[in-house]
Amino acid sequence: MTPTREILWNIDLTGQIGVYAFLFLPFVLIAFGLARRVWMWRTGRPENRFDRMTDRVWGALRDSVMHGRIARRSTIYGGVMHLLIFWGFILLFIGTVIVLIEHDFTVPILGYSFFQGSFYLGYKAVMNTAGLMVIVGVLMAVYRRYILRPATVETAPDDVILLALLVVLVVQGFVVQALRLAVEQDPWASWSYVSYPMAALFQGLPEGTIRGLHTANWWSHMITTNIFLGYFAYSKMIHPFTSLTNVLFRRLQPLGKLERIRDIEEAESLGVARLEDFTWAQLMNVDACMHCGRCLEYCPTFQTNKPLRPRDLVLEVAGYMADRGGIFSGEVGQGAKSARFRAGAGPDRDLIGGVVTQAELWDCTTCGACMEHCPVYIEHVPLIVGMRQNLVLEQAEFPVEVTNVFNNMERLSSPYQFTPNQRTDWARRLEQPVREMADVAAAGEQVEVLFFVGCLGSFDSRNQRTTLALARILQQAGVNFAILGKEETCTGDPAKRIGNEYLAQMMAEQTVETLNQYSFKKIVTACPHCFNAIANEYPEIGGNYEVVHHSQLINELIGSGKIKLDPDSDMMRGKVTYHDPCYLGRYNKVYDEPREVVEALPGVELAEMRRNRNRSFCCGGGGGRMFMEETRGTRINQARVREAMDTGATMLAAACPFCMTMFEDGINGVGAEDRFQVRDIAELVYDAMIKSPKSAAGNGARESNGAIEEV
Amino acid sequence: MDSISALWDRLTGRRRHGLIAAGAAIVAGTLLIAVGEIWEWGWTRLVGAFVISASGTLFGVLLGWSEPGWSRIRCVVRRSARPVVLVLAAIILAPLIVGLVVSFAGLFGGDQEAGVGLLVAGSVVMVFLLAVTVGLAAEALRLALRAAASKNSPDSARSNGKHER
Repeated sequence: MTPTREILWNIDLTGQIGVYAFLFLPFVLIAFGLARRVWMWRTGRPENRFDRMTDRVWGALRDSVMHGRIARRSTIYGGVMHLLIFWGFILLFIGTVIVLIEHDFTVPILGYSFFQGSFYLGYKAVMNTAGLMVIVGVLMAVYRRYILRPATVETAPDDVILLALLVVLVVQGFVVQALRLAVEQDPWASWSYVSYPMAALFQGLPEGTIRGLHTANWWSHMITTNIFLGYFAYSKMIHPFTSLTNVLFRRLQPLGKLERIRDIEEAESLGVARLEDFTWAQLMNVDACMHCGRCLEYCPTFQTNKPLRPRDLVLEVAGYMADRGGIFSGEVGQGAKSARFRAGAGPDRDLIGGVVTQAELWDCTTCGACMEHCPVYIEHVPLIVGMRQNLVLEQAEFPVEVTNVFNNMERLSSPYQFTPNQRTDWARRLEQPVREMADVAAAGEQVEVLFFVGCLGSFDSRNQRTTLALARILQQAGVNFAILGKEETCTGDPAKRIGNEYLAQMMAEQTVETLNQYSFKKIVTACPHCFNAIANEYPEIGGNYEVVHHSQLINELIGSGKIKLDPDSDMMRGKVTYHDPCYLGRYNKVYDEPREVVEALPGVELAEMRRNRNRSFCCGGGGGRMFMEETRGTRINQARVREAMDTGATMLAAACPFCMTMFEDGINGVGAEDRFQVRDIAELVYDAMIKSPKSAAGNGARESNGAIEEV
Repeated sequence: MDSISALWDRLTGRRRHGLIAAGAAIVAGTLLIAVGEIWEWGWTRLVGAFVISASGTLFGVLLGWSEPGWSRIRCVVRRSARPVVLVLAAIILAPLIVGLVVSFAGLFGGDQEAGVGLLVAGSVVMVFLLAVTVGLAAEALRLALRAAASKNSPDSARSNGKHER
C-alpha cells in the first residue's frame, strides 16, 4: 500500500465548496488593509528609494528572510524565538500550498499525483516539526512577556491575540490530523509523530463521534485561518509585508548622513509639522515597527527614564497615520504608562504637541542606537530631526540654552563666544610652531595632512590638551601637516542635529569653500562629529576629501613605527576602558583602531564595558544635547561613567571632545574625581611615546605623571 | 447600515462599477467551483479559486484606494467589537477544546487497542496542548474584551492637546 491520504477527507460538498468560496474574505481584507497603508504612504513627499535594486533585494533576503538583523548575538533569545515562529509558519504555509497543488492542479489537470510515498512521509514529519516549532516559539514569547518581562517589552492585547491565534491554528491542525488517523489507522501514522499518540486516545471513541469532532474542528480550523488572514493587515502581523518593504526600500546612504533641505531659500515650509511633510519612505518607516523594543535596549533616553522612547515615538506617528487613514493598526488599549498604548487617540490632532511631545523631540541625542539595532531599518533620528527643524525654523521653539549657540555660530562661526582669531591660541603652547594652510599655500607648498581641529579642540581648555597632544604626536612622527587656523569654521553638525538646517548649511558651505581653496592629501580630526560631517555630508555639496579620525592616524603611525612607545614610560598602567563615540562607531564603523591604540600602550590592559562597539551607550552630548540642560530623568553621562567604573578601570579613554566634556562632568557628578579620570587616546599615546630630546626639553608641559597640564 | 450606505454614496461612479464587477466575479468564481464539484470537473477549483482571490484583491484595493471616510466605518466596527470577539472566540475555540477534552474519554473506550505507552504519550501531548490553548486563549480573550470595553476608546478621544506622561 502506498503511503498517502485523501485530501478533504470526511468533508462534504458544502465544505469542499466553502473552503474556496470563503477565500474572498481574507483577500478583500488583506488587500484593503495594504492598499490603505500604501495610500497613506503616498501622501508623503517624494524620495527616490528605487536605486541599486540588486543591493536592496539582497539586503531584504539577508536581513528579513534569513534573519540577519533579527537574530544577533545580543538578542539571541528573541532571534531564536522569531526564527522558530517564522520558519514554522512558513513551512506550514508551504505545506498547505503543496496540498492545494496536488488537489487542484496536478491531479485534476495533469492527472499526476506526487503526494504519496516517501515524499508524503517526509511531508508529514516536516509538517509536525513545523507545528512544534511554532508552539515552542510562541511559548518562548509567552515566557519572555510574562516571566522575563524585559523593560523594553510591553504586552498589549494585539500581541497575545496573535500568539493565541498561532497556537490555536497549529493545535487545530494536530487535532484534525489525529482525528483522521484515529479512523483511517494508517500503517505509516507514526510519521505524524505529534498527532499519532493523540490519535491513540481518539481511537477509544465511537467512529461517529470522531467524525463529528473532525468535521467541527475542520470547519473551525478553516474559519480560524480566514480570521487570522483577515486580521493580518490590521495588527502587527502585517510586519512581514511592512518590514520587508521597509528593508527593501531602506536608506543605502551612510547612516551618519542627514538629508539636506534642498533649495531651503525657496521652501514653502521647513521641516515636518504634518504627516504630509514626511517622505513616503518615512511614513512607510513608522508602519514597519513591530514593537520589538530593540531600539530601546541601548537608547540613552529610555535607559535614563526620559520621555523619549524611540519605539513609542514611531508608534505614535503610526497610530496617528492609522487614525487619519481610518484603519486599525493593532491598537492596544488606553491608560497604560507607555505612549504606545495611546496610539489611536483620534485624527484631529497636531503632529507636534498632539501626537509627539516637544520633550520627546528635544531629549534625543541622535546617538543612532535605535537605528543600529532596529531589525527593519527604521530611521528614527531623521524623523526626530525633521520635526526639530520645523520647531526651530518655523516656530522658533527650541530650548533657550541653544539661543547662544545659534547666535555664536552666526556671528563667530563656532558655538562658543570666541573670535576666529582665538582659534589658534592653543598652538602657542607648542614647542614647535604649527603652520597654517594659508601660509602653506602662499609659500606654494602642499601638506600631507590637514589637521581639522574643531571648535571644542580649539576653544575648550580641556579639549585643547587633546589638540596639543595630537599636534605633538604629528610633529614627533614627522607628519607634514597644517591647520586652517582662524579660517576654520564649525562644520555645522550641532546646528544640523538641533534642527537649524539653515545655519547648518551656511556653516557647511563656508567650511567646504575654505577647504576647497587648499591642497592636501587627507584631513585628520579628533572630533567624530566633524569627521562624520566631512565624510558623509560634505560630498553632496562639493566637499570630497579623504578624512580620518585621529585614532586611525595614530594607529597607522604606531603600526609603521613612526611612533615608538616607551615600555618604561611613567604613564599610568593597569586597566583602561574605551568608550565608543556614537559618531565614530555606530555612524562610521570605526571600532578597532582606537582599541588597537589603547592595547598598544605599555602596561595597559583594555577592559571593555558591558555596552561596547555598536552596542555602546551614548555620553549624552550628541544632537546638540551638550548645549542643553538635562532636566528629565537621570543623567546619561553619569550612567556611562558608572558603567566605565564597573569595569575596574581607573581611566576612561575617550576619542571625542563631546564625550570628553560629558565625562568630565559625569565624573564630577558621581564624585569620582579622586579615583577615576578621562583622557583622550592622543593624550595617552603622547605620554607613552618616546620623544625626541628637542620636544621633551622645555616644552612647558609637566610630564611626570603623564598629564600634559596647562602652562 | 447608514454609514455603509453613506460610504457607498461617496464613492465615484467608476469605483462603484469596479466594486460591482469584482463582487460579481467573486460570485461567479464560487458558482464555477460549486458546479464543478457537483459535476466533478476538477479543473474548476483552480480557476474558481484564482477568480475569487483575484477579484477579492481587486475589491479590497478599490475600497482601500478611496477616501470616502473610513474613520466612520472604523467607529462602527469598534462599537461592535465585543459581540464580534465573543462570537469568533466561540467558533474558534469550542470545537477544539471539546475535542481535546473528549479525547480523554477515549482512554476508557471499549474499542481502545493502543498500548499503554502510546496512550500515556497521547495523554501528555493532549494535556500539554490543552493547557497551552486554554491558557493563551483565555488571556487573549481577557485582553481583547478589556480593549473592546475601554471607556477611553481611541475614537472617542479627540484630544488636540499635548498628552502628558
